[in-house]
Amino acid sequence: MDGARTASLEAWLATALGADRVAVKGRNKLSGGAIQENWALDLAVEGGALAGELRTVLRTDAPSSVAVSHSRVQEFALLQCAYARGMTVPRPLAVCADAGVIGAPFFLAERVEGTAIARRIVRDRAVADFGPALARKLGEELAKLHGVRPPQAALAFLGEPPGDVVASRIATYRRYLDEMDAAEPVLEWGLRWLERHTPAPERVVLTHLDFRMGNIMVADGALTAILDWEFAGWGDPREDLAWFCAKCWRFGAVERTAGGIAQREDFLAGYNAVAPRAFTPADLAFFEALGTVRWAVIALQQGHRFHAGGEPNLELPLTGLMVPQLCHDLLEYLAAEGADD
Amino acid sequence: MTDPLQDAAAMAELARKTLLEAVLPHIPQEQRYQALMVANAIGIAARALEGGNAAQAAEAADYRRLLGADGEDVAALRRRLAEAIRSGALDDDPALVALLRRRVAAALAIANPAYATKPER
Repeated sequence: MDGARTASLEAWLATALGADRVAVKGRNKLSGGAIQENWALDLAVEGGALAGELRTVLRTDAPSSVAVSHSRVQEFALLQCAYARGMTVPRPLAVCADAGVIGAPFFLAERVEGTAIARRIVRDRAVADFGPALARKLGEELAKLHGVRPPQAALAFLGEPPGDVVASRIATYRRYLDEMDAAEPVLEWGLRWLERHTPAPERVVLTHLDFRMGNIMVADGALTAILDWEFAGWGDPREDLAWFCAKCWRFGAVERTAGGIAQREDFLAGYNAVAPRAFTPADLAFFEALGTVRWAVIALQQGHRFHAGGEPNLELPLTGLMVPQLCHDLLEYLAAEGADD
Repeated sequence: MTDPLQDAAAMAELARKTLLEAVLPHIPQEQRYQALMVANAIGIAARALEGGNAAQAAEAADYRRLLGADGEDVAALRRRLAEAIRSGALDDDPALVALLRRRVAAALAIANPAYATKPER
């Protein structure tokens, strides 16, 4: 962000925050996010309800952003919805759809303390102490989110809820595989098995769809914010619960079945205490397998960006090469479900 | 002249070891993750050079047996099997799961040999 953009941002912020004057006192580009750029901005606000020092994050599209996720304006609407439900998310402050202010649309939210680096949290020696309570808290948070049902006027951009969530997911993953011309018999078999053994549907609710360690900000073992709302949409509540628990999101701590921090039972106890509909670990098994397919398809897409697109980023082919281990997990899940019998 | 392929896998493996043992201790913390990625990539390339062709030949033979096909390269066979699975034609084929397990084991042997025993991503 150069000087001219900073001046134009300051002027825009003064109006958006209802202040007399806003000055950017400090700014620092935050790491992570191939799709988004995140800036830590320290503001001095004069006048209005937010007068004083304001620590914020400005989130905008990176130059190489992809079209599959929500726009910043839509993500802001989701954040507002979550905040209004009393969820632990960064307080949404202002959104700007006008690309003229800093070069791309952006939104501003309050900056939250902590780390979202999953490995650091999962490998913390104190995880045995804080993990169960954190998992329980995260379950409660998801239950609040799943209380949001369609239709929601402010979330009209999410489109019509899928009539059959699982069938729609399976169709999407098959389409992604076909688009890459990536024939993978193991994933095909998994999809076919899941298609033939789909459990009865649940009521469609608002789902985060990337609720896992890595998108959870933690300070001193306690939740400070649920991040990355860019994939949220109408879905089956078990998708979120299972994505968090799936083996591929335990960051090496596979014996701790809830995100590598605690047991599924801890996580579900929090959820079931708040949600109108209670689930058991057995209810999640199908969706943990479906989530494993989803991650494998995404990993294949990353590998494809290197293979077919020649993007010179070593992380891409290495992510593609995670597909065998995801296929291994998938076969284990399906064997546990009795698929080999 | 020596055949450049003769020692390629062993050389790549030695390069990986050298990177991890002699170079990594001197790499600043901020670049450590990248260096580990590089070591991982070299290791995979070494194992693919060593066993990739044989694994692919075995995979193709496996597909031919199950599909009753002859000829066609491994990519075409893999596509044919994927289509057959999706269509439901192999829903109750007991040989299929065994084949898929062999496919996963062979792919893991190259991509991440430690995974099946010590799950770690």
